[in-house]
Amino acid sequence: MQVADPPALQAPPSGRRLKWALGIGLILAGIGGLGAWAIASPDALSYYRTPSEIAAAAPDPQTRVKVGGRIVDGSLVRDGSNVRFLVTDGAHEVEVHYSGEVPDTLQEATDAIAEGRIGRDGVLVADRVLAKCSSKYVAEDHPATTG
Amino acid sequence: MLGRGLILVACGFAAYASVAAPASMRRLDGRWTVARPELLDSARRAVVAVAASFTLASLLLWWALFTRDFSIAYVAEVSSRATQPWYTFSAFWSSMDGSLLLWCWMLALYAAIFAGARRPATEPFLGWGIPVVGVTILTFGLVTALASNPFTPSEVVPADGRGLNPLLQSPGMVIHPPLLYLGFTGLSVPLAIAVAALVTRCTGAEWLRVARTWVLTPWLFLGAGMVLGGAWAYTELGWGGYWAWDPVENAALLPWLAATAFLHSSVVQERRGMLRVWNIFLVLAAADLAVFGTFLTRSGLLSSVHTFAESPIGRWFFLFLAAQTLVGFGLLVWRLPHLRTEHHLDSPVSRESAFLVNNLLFVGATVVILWGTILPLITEALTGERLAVGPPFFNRIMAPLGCLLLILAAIGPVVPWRRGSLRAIANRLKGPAAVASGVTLPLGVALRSVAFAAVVWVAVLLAAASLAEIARGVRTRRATGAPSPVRSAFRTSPRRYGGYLVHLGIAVMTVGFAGNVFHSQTEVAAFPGDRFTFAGFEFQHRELQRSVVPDKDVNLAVLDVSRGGRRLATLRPQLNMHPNFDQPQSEIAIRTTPLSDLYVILAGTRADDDGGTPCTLSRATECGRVVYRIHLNPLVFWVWAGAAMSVIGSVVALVAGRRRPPAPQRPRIPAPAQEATPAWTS
Repeated sequence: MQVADPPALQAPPSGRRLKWALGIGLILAGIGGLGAWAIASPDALSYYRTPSEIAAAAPDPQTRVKVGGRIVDGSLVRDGSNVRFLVTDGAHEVEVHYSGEVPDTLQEATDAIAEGRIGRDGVLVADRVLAKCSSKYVAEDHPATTG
Repeated sequence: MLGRGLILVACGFAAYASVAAPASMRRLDGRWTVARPELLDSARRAVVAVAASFTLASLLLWWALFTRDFSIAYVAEVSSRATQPWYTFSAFWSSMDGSLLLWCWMLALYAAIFAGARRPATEPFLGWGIPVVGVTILTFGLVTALASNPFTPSEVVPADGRGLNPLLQSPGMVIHPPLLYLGFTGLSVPLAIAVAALVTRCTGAEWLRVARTWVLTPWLFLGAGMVLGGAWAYTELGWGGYWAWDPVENAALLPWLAATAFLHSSVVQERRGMLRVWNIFLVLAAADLAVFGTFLTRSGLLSSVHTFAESPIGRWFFLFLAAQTLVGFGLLVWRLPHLRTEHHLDSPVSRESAFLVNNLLFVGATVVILWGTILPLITEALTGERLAVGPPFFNRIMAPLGCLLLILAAIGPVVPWRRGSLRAIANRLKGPAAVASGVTLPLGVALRSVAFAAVVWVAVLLAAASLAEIARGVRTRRATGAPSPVRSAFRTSPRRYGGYLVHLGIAVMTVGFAGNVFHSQTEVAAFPGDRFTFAGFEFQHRELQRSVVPDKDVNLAVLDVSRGGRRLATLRPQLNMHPNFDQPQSEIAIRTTPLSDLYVILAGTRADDDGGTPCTLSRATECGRVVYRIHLNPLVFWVWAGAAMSVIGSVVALVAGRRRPPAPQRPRIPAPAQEATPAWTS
């Protein structure tokens, strides 16, 4: 080993080292605590459910869910920017009510994800609706349209 | 086909360079030296040839796009005869195959500058650095050529192409993807330098000086790319905001955070010889996060508006990421004995410790955001439960951490190295703190928002402290009789004063973020002639104009905006149908002032109240009323203004010192007893 090592200095006394470790540990614990607090935020987490899973067991009205599926043909009704539609996974359907910023790409026979809470009536009152763009990039099951 | 052939040729050159460069190195008495310079030179030429091949392939793709060569499937998919030249240009990277080619091309250009330029400083890192970028290019080049080839011929040659997705027809989309890719790919070069430094045990000050410039450049591109992406979302997507904590936005933010941490901690190694392991770790982490970001975007693992369709190439990205991580961190662990620190922290009140806390916060933020981004993957793998992590999580993390970082950015520069006195620090921050309180207190009282006032206080503190530091530097130089003290400050310490400009810009952006507290929105249905008010503005809906232009049906609403009876503007939001895409698309109208943006979306039409059939989308414009959705977005102007200022500061840091002969090395504190002899000198 011929490479000159940097001059080794004396390690600081172990008491001081402990203090530094304690300080750094406190900061890291603080960040970790912040993370725990953030994940406990009521809107932080939402659970993906398929319409069939909802049909099998209705989720708790307190739980945020994300329901993905295809928008049923003819079910999309826009009343101004209040939107109602049905999403299906082929077996079951879930009714979605949404009021707010509707993505341009939301349309019938495409995939959408609605996020919100399901009431006792089984209607998903969504506060976010995400349309899976069918055309923005290469679509899975729509090969490039040619002319 | 020629295009694919060029990519494969580039791969061949990359493979050759990756073997030839390390083969030119010999280890003699524990030192790596260039034993066969002619072999290294040929490796360098091969790297330049890689860049040339990718450049030709890219020009070929542009040629095909501009000549409307629909015999190439990609061209038919992303452009049509009606596509404007500007968007024909950007159609190159509007879909996956082309953007992969762009990725390779950008990386190849970086590699050519790294290997081709004859800079004595980079020379020692070429032998083992070239294989790192070479293998990266080889992997991604092969994936492009074999699995995602943009030159694949059409099965049936169509008469016209499909055209560029209207969402991507925006100036932001012309420039945002290349900037982000310049950021992602650029981080491979500092990775190469770090790996070469580890292999050759040349882990002292030399690698750091070289690596820092190579981190600063992609860091700048990543930051600018994120801002432009936000601007695109804001002006084009029509949900009223610019950042949604989408996994792909996080994918760009994560390497940016790690690189930011490195830019700060590298100063500590430069001045004090500390944090040597940490700095290499940060460069490895930034590069891994960059590849991870590309992987996230391409694999379709996380659902996101950005996500390209699921594709098998995600697997290759993952394998590459795993290999890069293992090799990098394996080397780091192997070389740990060579990375002993030269000094220890003297006092908690010192510049070193301020930088240390800065790094803990940056890396902490990176880890927590990364955790939030991949938590859905982890829980699904472990429990089968699929979940999503929403913006409230990230906002709760970043608001406090961001404020702490801003305060630290105000304090850090006035804390001396080694050991400082709290009293002296408080003295220098008295002025900025007084300014911040003077500005914020009346604001907080008038607007009755503690949250807003607190964030603005922090931002003004940082802005005032940064300006004070710049002024101080200029004054000292004037006192020594420098002819142009401002220029002299930025020329002699470009990173320091450029850094203050960046901090100033961040402070300004923060004020813009804080404006979000007062965001409000409304939704109004109006017949022609109807008047309504919102947020102190008076509006009158004049009319809905319909027209048909070649590639779309245009619905344009005309809305007059006035305040106190005085006409301010006429806004013309649109809701357009693009037949080739079968989806409506909003063109948002924005009236920007420094105080607030009026953000008007033409949302559609409302059903008549007399029980008539509801308006479905297909007949939206047949109904009598139009629906406006209007956001009042306060202070958004300052987000863009601050970002521009930060970019200027970064450019200053990058180039201001370039024109002069290399500045005398900044003093180490204290001067090291004995500098390790560079191991590479032959």
